[in-house]
Amino acid sequence: MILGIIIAFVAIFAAVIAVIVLHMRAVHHASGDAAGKKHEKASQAALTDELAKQTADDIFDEKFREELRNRGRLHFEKIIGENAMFLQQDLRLTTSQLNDYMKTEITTKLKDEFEKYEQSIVDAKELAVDSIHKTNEVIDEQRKTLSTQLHLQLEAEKKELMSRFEQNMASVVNHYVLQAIGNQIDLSDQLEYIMGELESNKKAIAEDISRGA
Amino acid sequence: MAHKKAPTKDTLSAAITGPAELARLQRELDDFIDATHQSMLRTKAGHKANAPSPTKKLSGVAADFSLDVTAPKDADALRQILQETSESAPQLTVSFAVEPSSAFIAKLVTWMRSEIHPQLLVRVGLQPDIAAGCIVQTSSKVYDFSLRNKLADQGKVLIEGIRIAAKAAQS
Repeated sequence: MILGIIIAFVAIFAAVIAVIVLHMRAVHHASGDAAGKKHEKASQAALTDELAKQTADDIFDEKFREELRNRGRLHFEKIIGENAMFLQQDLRLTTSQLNDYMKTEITTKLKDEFEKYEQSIVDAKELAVDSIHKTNEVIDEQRKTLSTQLHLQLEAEKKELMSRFEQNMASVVNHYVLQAIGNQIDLSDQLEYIMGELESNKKAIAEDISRGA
Repeated sequence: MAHKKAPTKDTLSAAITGPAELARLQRELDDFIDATHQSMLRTKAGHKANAPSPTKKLSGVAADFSLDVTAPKDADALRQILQETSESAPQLTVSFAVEPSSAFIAKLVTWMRSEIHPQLLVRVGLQPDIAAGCIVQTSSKVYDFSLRNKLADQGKVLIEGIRIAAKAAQS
């Protein structure tokens, strides 16, 4: 195809050269006779133009033009194909770079987001741990207070129970002793004790009697 | 013995320990006086009537006051004495865990009349739960000389003894 184009250019170039040569001859002839030849010069120029036009028509006939068109079309297609390939390569390269860029950007963004997320989790965890610690401290405090109160209450309860026990125990033992020995002591054996007690209290009894009388 | 000496207006016979005996004696004396009066009326009417004889206790009490109960004047005097005693003699109640013997009561009453009041009437009560000792009640006060009261007073000592025994048992 390139060869065809070159041949076509060479042919065009040769035609152009021939036209120029004919034109130069005509000019040379014209310079010899300046005055009278002005009209001739004009006619020769017209002839030359016509000749050049006819030569050009002969060279660049419809067939040759069609061939040139076909060659140009083919060349254009080739260039377009080559450019398309380059464009495809560029596109691939760009796509690849874009992919890399996107990957890097997304990775960076994700990394940042994950770091923020991790930081948020760490913060939340610390907050939760602090809250748990505070709650534990409050619970410990309440437990100590409750323990103290319970201890005091138990002490009071124990004291109360011991007091009741002592009272009841004394009553139980007394009752047992009375039941055990109540009927065993002869009244005559008690006379001395009774007289002693009466002797000790006779003044008070006498006063009561006098007052009552 | 102290109760053997002759009672005066200010003293009371040992045979009369309490209000119950006094009331019984008054009834006996009234019955005797009524019977004597009826016997005299029958005799005056020409009927044969046996003169009533006083009980040994009534005669003894009258004798303690140097009176002869068979004589109407002495009988009236004795009734007057008993009536005055019933109205004016002070009284108190002494309670025991068991029923005391009469000898025990006599000793107690004699001592009380010699030490507290000569005309004192002692009412005897019964409280089995006191175990031993007695409880003396005047009109305004109660004197608890019972074993129950003594044990109650010694409750702390008892508990202390139990504690010491418990500690000894633990160690």
